[in-house]
Amino acid sequence: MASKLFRAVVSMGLSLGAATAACLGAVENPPSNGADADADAATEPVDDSGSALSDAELDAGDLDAFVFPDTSWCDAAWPVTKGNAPPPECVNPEGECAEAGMSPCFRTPPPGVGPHEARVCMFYERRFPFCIDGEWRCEPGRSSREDCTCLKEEAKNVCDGGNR
Amino acid sequence: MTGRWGGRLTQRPLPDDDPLIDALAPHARKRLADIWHSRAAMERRVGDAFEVIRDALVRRRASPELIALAERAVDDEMRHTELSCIVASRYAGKELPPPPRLMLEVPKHEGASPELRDTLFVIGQCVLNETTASAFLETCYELAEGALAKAALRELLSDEIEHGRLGWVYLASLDELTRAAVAPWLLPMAYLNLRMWKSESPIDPTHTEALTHHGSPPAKVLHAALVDALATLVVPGLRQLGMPTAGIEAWLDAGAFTDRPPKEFLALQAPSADTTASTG
Repeated sequence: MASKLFRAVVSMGLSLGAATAACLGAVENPPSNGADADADAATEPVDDSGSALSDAELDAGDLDAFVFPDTSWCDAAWPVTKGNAPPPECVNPEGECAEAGMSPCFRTPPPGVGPHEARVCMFYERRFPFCIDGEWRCEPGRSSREDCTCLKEEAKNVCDGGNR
Repeated sequence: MTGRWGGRLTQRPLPDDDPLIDALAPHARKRLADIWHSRAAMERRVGDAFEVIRDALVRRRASPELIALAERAVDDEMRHTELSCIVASRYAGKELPPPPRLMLEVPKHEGASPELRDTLFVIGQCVLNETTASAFLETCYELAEGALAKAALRELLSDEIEHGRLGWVYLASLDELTRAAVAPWLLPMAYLNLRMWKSESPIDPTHTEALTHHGSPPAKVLHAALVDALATLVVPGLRQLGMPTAGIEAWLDAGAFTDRPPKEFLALQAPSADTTASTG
Protein backbone atom coordinates (compact mmCIF):
# COMPACT_ATOMS: atom_id res chain seq x y z
CA MET A 1 0.00 0.00 0.00
CA ALA A 2 2.73 2.38 0.97
CA SER A 3 4.89 1.82 -2.08
CA LYS A 4 2.33 3.38 -4.40
CA LEU A 5 2.15 6.39 -2.15
CA PHE A 6 5.92 6.46 -1.87
CA ARG A 7 6.25 6.75 -5.62
CA ALA A 8 3.51 9.34 -5.94
CA VAL A 9 4.44 11.56 -3.02
CA VAL A 10 8.07 11.05 -2.12
CA SER A 11 9.90 9.76 -5.19
CA MET A 12 8.28 12.17 -7.58
CA GLY A 13 8.82 15.03 -5.17
CA LEU A 14 12.47 14.22 -4.75
CA SER A 15 12.99 13.93 -8.50
CA LEU A 16 11.31 17.25 -9.17
CA GLY A 17 13.22 18.89 -6.35
CA ALA A 18 16.54 17.61 -7.59
CA ALA A 19 15.72 18.84 -11.08
CA THR A 20 14.75 22.24 -9.72
CA ALA A 21 17.99 22.54 -7.81
CA ALA A 22 19.98 21.47 -10.85
CA CYS A 23 18.28 23.98 -13.13
CA LEU A 24 17.79 26.93 -10.83
CA GLY A 25 20.24 26.31 -8.01
CA ALA A 26 19.37 25.25 -4.51
CA VAL A 27 16.81 27.24 -2.57
CA GLU A 28 18.49 30.00 -0.66
CA ASN A 29 20.28 28.54 2.27
CA PRO A 30 18.66 29.50 5.55
CA PRO A 31 21.49 30.31 7.93
CA SER A 32 21.32 27.99 10.87
CA ASN A 33 20.10 29.91 13.88
CA GLY A 34 21.66 33.17 12.99
CA ALA A 35 25.14 31.94 12.24
CA ASP A 36 26.63 33.57 9.14
CA ALA A 37 23.56 35.73 8.88
CA ASP A 38 25.11 39.11 9.21
CA ALA A 39 22.33 40.87 7.45
CA ASP A 40 19.73 39.21 9.58
CA ALA A 41 21.74 39.71 12.72
CA ALA A 42 21.40 43.43 12.20
CA THR A 43 17.65 43.27 12.38
CA GLU A 44 16.78 40.00 14.05
CA PRO A 45 17.84 39.28 17.60
CA VAL A 46 19.14 35.74 17.86
CA ASP A 47 18.95 33.73 21.02
CA ASP A 48 22.11 31.69 21.02
CA SER A 49 21.01 29.74 24.05
CA GLY A 50 18.34 28.14 21.93
CA SER A 51 20.61 27.38 19.04
CA ALA A 52 19.85 24.04 17.50
CA LEU A 53 22.97 23.61 15.50
CA SER A 54 25.55 26.20 14.70
CA ASP A 55 27.59 26.17 11.54
CA ALA A 56 30.66 25.57 13.63
CA GLU A 57 29.08 22.45 15.05
CA LEU A 58 28.15 21.34 11.59
CA ASP A 59 31.66 21.82 10.35
CA ALA A 60 33.17 20.01 13.25
CA GLY A 61 30.61 17.25 13.37
CA ASP A 62 30.84 17.59 17.11
CA LEU A 63 27.81 15.69 18.33
CA ASP A 64 28.71 16.27 21.97
CA ALA A 65 28.09 19.95 21.40
CA PHE A 66 24.66 19.24 20.03
CA VAL A 67 22.18 21.43 21.88
CA PHE A 68 18.53 21.48 21.12
CA PRO A 69 15.85 23.78 22.49
CA ASP A 70 13.72 21.80 24.90
CA THR A 71 10.69 23.86 23.93
CA SER A 72 10.64 22.00 20.64
CA TRP A 73 8.97 19.04 22.30
CA CYS A 74 6.13 21.29 23.37
CA ASP A 75 5.78 23.22 20.17
CA ALA A 76 2.58 23.23 18.19
CA ALA A 77 2.21 20.81 15.33
CA TRP A 78 0.58 21.84 12.10
CA PRO A 79 -3.08 20.98 12.48
CA VAL A 80 -4.09 17.82 10.73
CA THR A 81 -6.71 17.84 8.03
CA LYS A 82 -8.70 14.84 9.10
CA GLY A 83 -9.92 13.21 12.22
CA ASN A 84 -12.53 10.98 13.68
CA ALA A 85 -13.00 12.60 17.03
CA PRO A 86 -16.63 12.34 18.08
CA PRO A 87 -18.07 14.68 20.69
CA PRO A 88 -18.75 13.03 24.04
CA GLU A 89 -22.16 11.43 24.06
CA CYS A 90 -23.16 13.49 27.07
CA VAL A 91 -22.73 16.77 25.26
CA ASN A 92 -25.76 16.57 23.03
CA PRO A 93 -27.50 13.28 23.78
CA GLU A 94 -30.91 14.27 22.48
CA GLY A 95 -29.63 15.93 19.34
CA GLU A 96 -31.08 19.22 20.50
CA CYS A 97 -28.48 21.12 18.53
CA ALA A 98 -29.05 19.24 15.30
CA GLU A 99 -30.12 22.49 13.67
CA ALA A 100 -27.25 24.49 15.10
CA GLY A 101 -24.46 22.75 13.21
CA MET A 102 -21.07 22.24 14.67
CA SER A 103 -20.14 23.88 17.90
CA PRO A 104 -18.62 27.35 17.62
CA CYS A 105 -16.93 27.19 21.00
CA PHE A 106 -13.17 27.16 21.12
CA ARG A 107 -10.59 28.16 23.60
CA THR A 108 -9.05 31.55 23.01
CA PRO A 109 -5.82 32.27 24.84
CA PRO A 110 -5.38 35.38 26.96
CA PRO A 111 -3.72 38.31 25.20
CA GLY A 112 -0.06 37.68 24.59
CA VAL A 113 -0.19 34.03 25.52
CA GLY A 114 -0.20 31.40 22.84
CA PRO A 115 -2.70 28.62 23.32
CA HIS A 116 0.08 26.11 23.42
CA GLU A 117 1.85 27.92 26.21
CA ALA A 118 -1.45 28.23 28.00
CA ARG A 119 -1.95 24.53 28.10
CA VAL A 120 1.70 23.81 28.91
CA CYS A 121 2.06 20.91 26.61
CA MET A 122 -1.08 19.19 27.79
CA PHE A 123 -3.74 18.20 25.38
CA TYR A 124 -7.22 19.42 25.74
CA GLU A 125 -10.17 19.16 23.47
CA ARG A 126 -11.31 22.35 21.90
CA ARG A 127 -14.59 21.57 20.30
CA PHE A 128 -16.87 19.99 22.87
CA PRO A 129 -19.20 22.59 24.28
CA PHE A 130 -22.70 22.06 25.49
CA CYS A 131 -26.04 22.09 23.81
CA ILE A 132 -28.47 24.03 25.95
CA ASP A 133 -31.93 24.92 24.73
CA GLY A 134 -30.96 24.16 21.15
CA GLU A 135 -27.89 26.38 21.20
CA TRP A 136 -24.22 25.60 21.56
CA ARG A 137 -22.87 27.17 24.71
CA CYS A 138 -19.86 27.09 26.93
CA GLU A 139 -20.08 25.18 30.15
CA PRO A 140 -22.28 26.73 32.83
CA GLY A 141 -20.61 29.70 34.46
CA ARG A 142 -18.68 30.65 31.37
CA SER A 143 -20.48 32.63 28.80
CA SER A 144 -18.09 34.50 26.59
CA ARG A 145 -16.09 33.01 23.77
CA GLU A 146 -12.93 34.04 25.59
CA ASP A 147 -13.96 32.19 28.73
CA CYS A 148 -15.01 29.05 27.02
CA THR A 149 -12.48 26.33 27.60
CA CYS A 150 -14.48 23.40 26.28
CA LEU A 151 -12.28 20.95 28.10
CA LYS A 152 -13.40 17.44 27.42
CA GLU A 153 -12.75 16.45 30.99
CA GLU A 154 -14.70 19.44 32.27
CA ALA A 155 -17.51 18.53 29.93
CA LYS A 156 -17.63 15.07 31.36
CA ASN A 157 -17.62 16.38 34.90
CA VAL A 158 -20.43 18.77 34.18
CA CYS A 159 -22.40 16.06 32.45
CA ASP A 160 -21.78 13.62 35.25
CA GLY A 161 -22.83 16.28 37.71
CA GLY A 162 -26.16 16.66 36.00
CA ASN A 163 -25.58 20.31 35.24
CA ARG A 164 -25.95 20.03 31.54
CA MET B 1 -2.35 28.92 -11.12
CA THR B 2 -5.42 28.82 -8.95
CA GLY B 3 -8.22 26.37 -8.69
CA ARG B 4 -8.40 22.89 -10.07
CA TRP B 5 -11.00 21.29 -12.30
CA GLY B 6 -12.02 24.51 -14.00
CA GLY B 7 -13.68 25.88 -10.93
CA ARG B 8 -15.64 22.73 -10.23
CA LEU B 9 -15.67 21.35 -6.72
CA THR B 10 -14.50 17.89 -7.71
CA GLN B 11 -12.76 16.20 -10.61
CA ARG B 12 -15.63 13.74 -11.00
CA PRO B 13 -19.23 14.32 -10.00
CA LEU B 14 -20.24 12.96 -6.64
CA PRO B 15 -22.76 10.13 -6.77
CA ASP B 16 -26.35 11.27 -6.37
CA ASP B 17 -27.39 8.11 -4.59
CA ASP B 18 -25.76 5.95 -2.01
CA PRO B 19 -27.92 3.06 -0.83
CA LEU B 20 -25.51 2.39 1.99
CA ILE B 21 -26.32 5.77 3.49
CA ASP B 22 -30.02 5.07 3.25
CA ALA B 23 -29.46 1.80 5.09
CA LEU B 24 -27.65 3.41 8.02
CA ALA B 25 -29.23 3.65 11.45
CA PRO B 26 -30.05 7.23 12.48
CA HIS B 27 -27.41 7.19 15.18
CA ALA B 28 -24.70 6.16 12.72
CA ARG B 29 -25.81 8.83 10.26
CA LYS B 30 -25.59 11.44 12.99
CA ARG B 31 -22.12 10.29 13.97
CA LEU B 32 -20.91 10.38 10.38
CA ALA B 33 -22.42 13.81 9.85
CA ASP B 34 -20.53 15.03 12.93
CA ILE B 35 -17.27 13.47 11.80
CA TRP B 36 -17.44 14.85 8.26
CA HIS B 37 -18.58 18.26 9.48
CA SER B 38 -15.68 18.31 11.88
CA ARG B 39 -13.36 17.39 9.02
CA ALA B 40 -14.77 20.30 7.02
CA ALA B 41 -13.70 22.68 9.78
CA MET B 42 -10.27 21.09 9.90
CA GLU B 43 -9.82 21.44 6.15
CA ARG B 44 -10.65 25.13 6.40
CA ARG B 45 -7.97 25.58 9.01
CA VAL B 46 -5.41 23.85 6.80
CA GLY B 47 -6.29 26.37 4.10
CA ASP B 48 -5.08 29.01 6.53
CA ALA B 49 -1.98 26.91 7.18
CA PHE B 50 -1.14 26.82 3.49
CA GLU B 51 -1.29 30.61 3.35
CA VAL B 52 1.51 30.57 5.91
CA ILE B 53 3.39 28.02 3.82
CA ARG B 54 2.98 30.04 0.64
CA ASP B 55 4.32 33.14 2.37
CA ALA B 56 7.26 31.15 3.74
CA LEU B 57 8.10 29.91 0.25
CA VAL B 58 7.95 33.45 -1.08
CA ARG B 59 10.33 34.61 1.62
CA ARG B 60 12.67 31.74 0.84
CA ARG B 61 12.57 32.64 -2.84
CA ALA B 62 11.38 29.21 -3.83
CA SER B 63 10.62 28.56 -7.48
CA PRO B 64 7.47 30.21 -8.85
CA GLU B 65 6.08 26.75 -9.59
CA LEU B 66 6.39 25.73 -5.96
CA ILE B 67 4.80 28.95 -4.75
CA ALA B 68 1.97 28.44 -7.23
CA LEU B 69 1.43 24.93 -5.87
CA ALA B 70 1.13 26.31 -2.36
CA GLU B 71 -1.29 28.93 -3.61
CA ARG B 72 -3.36 26.24 -5.23
CA ALA B 73 -3.25 24.22 -2.03
CA VAL B 74 -5.04 27.07 -0.28
CA ASP B 75 -7.81 26.78 -2.83
CA ASP B 76 -7.75 22.99 -2.57
CA GLU B 77 -8.38 23.13 1.15
CA MET B 78 -11.31 25.49 0.63
CA ARG B 79 -12.78 22.98 -1.82
CA HIS B 80 -12.13 20.21 0.69
CA THR B 81 -14.06 22.21 3.25
CA GLU B 82 -17.03 22.50 0.97
CA LEU B 83 -16.79 18.90 -0.16
CA SER B 84 -16.63 17.60 3.42
CA CYS B 85 -19.57 19.81 4.37
CA ILE B 86 -21.59 18.43 1.48
CA VAL B 87 -20.79 14.87 2.57
CA ALA B 88 -21.73 15.74 6.15
CA SER B 89 -25.00 17.20 4.94
CA ARG B 90 -25.80 14.04 2.98
CA TYR B 91 -25.37 12.00 6.14
CA ALA B 92 -27.36 14.53 8.16
CA GLY B 93 -30.14 14.46 5.59
CA LYS B 94 -30.21 18.22 5.39
CA GLU B 95 -27.94 21.09 4.51
CA LEU B 96 -25.58 21.86 7.35
CA PRO B 97 -24.18 25.34 7.93
CA PRO B 98 -20.57 26.08 7.00
CA PRO B 99 -18.23 24.86 9.72
CA PRO B 100 -16.76 27.31 12.21
CA ARG B 101 -13.34 28.70 11.49
CA LEU B 102 -10.86 27.02 13.77
CA MET B 103 -7.95 28.86 15.27
CA LEU B 104 -4.62 28.15 13.61
CA GLU B 105 -1.64 27.80 15.89
CA VAL B 106 1.60 28.05 13.95
CA PRO B 107 4.67 26.22 15.31
CA LYS B 108 7.18 28.55 16.94
CA HIS B 109 10.38 26.60 16.36
CA GLU B 110 12.10 28.58 19.07
CA GLY B 111 15.83 28.79 18.54
CA ALA B 112 15.61 28.60 14.78
CA SER B 113 16.53 31.58 12.64
CA PRO B 114 13.66 33.13 10.68
CA GLU B 115 15.02 31.52 7.55
CA LEU B 116 15.25 28.09 9.10
CA ARG B 117 11.79 28.53 10.59
CA ASP B 118 10.35 29.09 7.13
CA THR B 119 11.98 25.90 5.95
CA LEU B 120 10.71 23.98 8.97
CA PHE B 121 7.21 25.29 8.23
CA VAL B 122 7.27 23.71 4.79
CA ILE B 123 8.73 20.47 6.08
CA GLY B 124 6.32 20.21 9.01
CA GLN B 125 3.24 20.92 6.96
CA CYS B 126 4.09 19.14 3.72
CA VAL B 127 6.82 16.53 4.27
CA LEU B 128 5.23 15.37 7.51
CA ASN B 129 1.61 16.47 7.84
CA GLU B 130 0.43 16.11 4.26
CA THR B 131 2.45 12.96 3.58
CA THR B 132 0.94 11.26 6.60
CA ALA B 133 -2.45 12.67 5.59
CA SER B 134 -2.11 10.77 2.33
CA ALA B 135 -1.68 7.53 4.27
CA PHE B 136 -4.63 8.42 6.51
CA LEU B 137 -6.84 9.04 3.49
CA GLU B 138 -5.63 5.99 1.63
CA THR B 139 -6.57 3.84 4.62
CA CYS B 140 -9.97 5.47 4.86
CA TYR B 141 -10.48 4.98 1.13
CA GLU B 142 -9.38 1.35 1.05
CA LEU B 143 -11.77 0.42 3.83
CA ALA B 144 -14.72 2.53 2.71
CA GLU B 145 -17.65 0.96 0.91
CA GLY B 146 -20.16 3.77 0.66
CA ALA B 147 -20.19 5.33 -2.80
CA LEU B 148 -20.26 8.90 -1.54
CA ALA B 149 -17.51 8.42 1.03
CA LYS B 150 -15.29 6.63 -1.49
CA ALA B 151 -15.79 9.34 -4.09
CA ALA B 152 -15.05 12.11 -1.61
CA LEU B 153 -12.00 10.36 -0.20
CA ARG B 154 -10.61 9.78 -3.69
CA GLU B 155 -10.89 13.50 -4.43
CA LEU B 156 -9.25 14.46 -1.16
CA LEU B 157 -6.44 11.95 -1.58
CA SER B 158 -5.45 13.10 -5.05
CA ASP B 159 -4.92 16.64 -3.74
CA GLU B 160 -3.12 15.59 -0.57
CA ILE B 161 -0.61 13.66 -2.64
CA GLU B 162 0.35 16.85 -4.39
CA HIS B 163 0.52 18.78 -1.13
CA GLY B 164 2.88 16.21 0.34
CA ARG B 165 4.95 16.15 -2.83
CA LEU B 166 5.37 19.92 -2.57
CA GLY B 167 7.31 19.39 0.63
CA TRP B 168 9.58 16.77 -0.86
CA VAL B 169 10.30 18.96 -3.88
CA TYR B 170 11.28 21.75 -1.55
CA LEU B 171 13.37 19.54 0.70
CA ALA B 172 15.24 18.06 -2.26
CA SER B 173 15.96 21.52 -3.60
CA LEU B 174 17.70 22.64 -0.41
CA ASP B 175 21.45 22.67 -0.14
CA GLU B 176 23.15 20.17 2.14
CA LEU B 177 24.00 22.66 4.86
CA THR B 178 20.37 23.60 5.21
CA ARG B 179 19.27 19.98 5.26
CA ALA B 180 21.81 19.33 8.00
CA ALA B 181 20.37 22.23 9.99
CA VAL B 182 16.89 20.76 9.56
CA ALA B 183 17.86 17.25 10.65
CA PRO B 184 17.67 17.57 14.45
CA TRP B 185 14.22 19.14 14.26
CA LEU B 186 12.74 16.18 12.47
CA LEU B 187 12.25 13.92 15.48
CA PRO B 188 10.36 16.48 17.61
CA MET B 189 8.29 17.45 14.59
CA ALA B 190 7.45 13.85 13.71
CA TYR B 191 6.54 13.13 17.32
CA LEU B 192 4.30 16.20 17.57
CA ASN B 193 2.67 15.43 14.25
CA LEU B 194 1.83 11.87 15.23
CA ARG B 195 0.58 13.05 18.61
CA MET B 196 -1.69 15.54 16.90
CA TRP B 197 -3.06 12.86 14.58
CA LYS B 198 -3.75 10.52 17.47
CA SER B 199 -5.42 13.30 19.41
CA GLU B 200 -7.74 14.03 16.51
CA SER B 201 -8.54 10.34 16.05
CA PRO B 202 -8.92 9.05 19.57
CA ILE B 203 -9.75 5.47 20.43
CA ASP B 204 -13.52 5.28 20.40
CA PRO B 205 -15.01 2.27 22.18
CA THR B 206 -18.35 2.91 20.49
CA HIS B 207 -16.88 2.68 16.99
CA THR B 208 -18.82 0.46 14.60
CA GLU B 209 -18.10 -1.11 11.25
CA ALA B 210 -20.63 1.20 9.66
CA LEU B 211 -18.35 4.12 10.37
CA THR B 212 -15.48 2.32 8.65
CA HIS B 213 -17.62 1.77 5.58
CA HIS B 214 -18.23 5.50 5.34
CA GLY B 215 -14.68 6.78 5.67
CA SER B 216 -14.00 6.63 9.37
CA PRO B 217 -12.00 3.51 10.28
CA PRO B 218 -11.14 2.58 13.86
CA ALA B 219 -8.50 4.71 15.50
CA LYS B 220 -6.16 1.75 15.97
CA VAL B 221 -6.13 1.11 12.24
CA LEU B 222 -5.48 4.77 11.52
CA HIS B 223 -2.73 5.04 14.10
CA ALA B 224 -1.00 2.02 12.59
CA ALA B 225 -1.27 3.56 9.13
CA LEU B 226 0.23 6.81 10.35
CA VAL B 227 3.16 5.08 12.02
CA ASP B 228 3.62 3.01 8.88
CA ALA B 229 3.66 6.21 6.83
CA LEU B 230 6.49 7.56 8.94
CA ALA B 231 8.41 4.29 8.53
CA THR B 232 7.78 3.64 4.85
CA LEU B 233 7.32 7.10 3.36
CA VAL B 234 9.05 9.72 5.46
CA VAL B 235 12.11 7.82 6.68
CA PRO B 236 13.05 6.38 3.27
CA GLY B 237 12.55 9.77 1.67
CA LEU B 238 14.85 11.43 4.17
CA ARG B 239 17.38 8.66 3.70
CA GLN B 240 17.40 9.20 -0.03
CA LEU B 241 18.48 12.75 0.66
CA GLY B 242 21.23 11.56 2.96
CA MET B 243 19.53 13.00 6.01
CA PRO B 244 19.92 11.28 9.38
CA THR B 245 16.96 9.15 10.41
CA ALA B 246 18.38 7.07 13.25
CA GLY B 247 16.53 9.01 15.93
CA ILE B 248 13.17 8.72 14.20
CA GLU B 249 13.75 5.05 13.45
CA ALA B 250 14.71 4.30 17.06
CA TRP B 251 11.53 6.02 18.22
CA LEU B 252 9.46 4.06 15.69
CA ASP B 253 11.14 0.83 16.79
CA ALA B 254 10.26 1.71 20.38
CA GLY B 255 6.59 1.84 19.42
CA ALA B 256 6.30 5.46 18.31
CA PHE B 257 5.01 6.42 21.73
CA THR B 258 3.38 9.84 22.09
CA ASP B 259 2.66 9.94 25.80
CA ARG B 260 6.05 11.56 26.41
CA PRO B 261 8.66 13.21 24.22
CA PRO B 262 11.18 10.71 22.82
CA LYS B 263 14.09 12.82 24.00
CA GLU B 264 16.31 9.81 24.52
CA PHE B 265 16.60 9.37 20.76
CA LEU B 266 17.45 12.96 19.91
CA ALA B 267 21.20 12.51 19.93
CA LEU B 268 20.80 9.85 17.24
CA GLN B 269 19.08 12.40 15.03
CA ALA B 270 22.03 14.77 14.89
CA PRO B 271 23.72 15.04 11.53
CA SER B 272 26.45 12.47 11.24
CA ALA B 273 30.07 13.35 10.77
CA ASP B 274 29.75 12.09 7.20
CA THR B 275 26.91 14.49 6.53
CA THR B 276 28.51 17.44 8.16
CA ALA B 277 31.80 16.80 6.45
CA SER B 278 30.12 17.27 3.11
CA THR B 279 28.30 20.44 4.05
CA GLY B 280 29.32 23.96 3.43
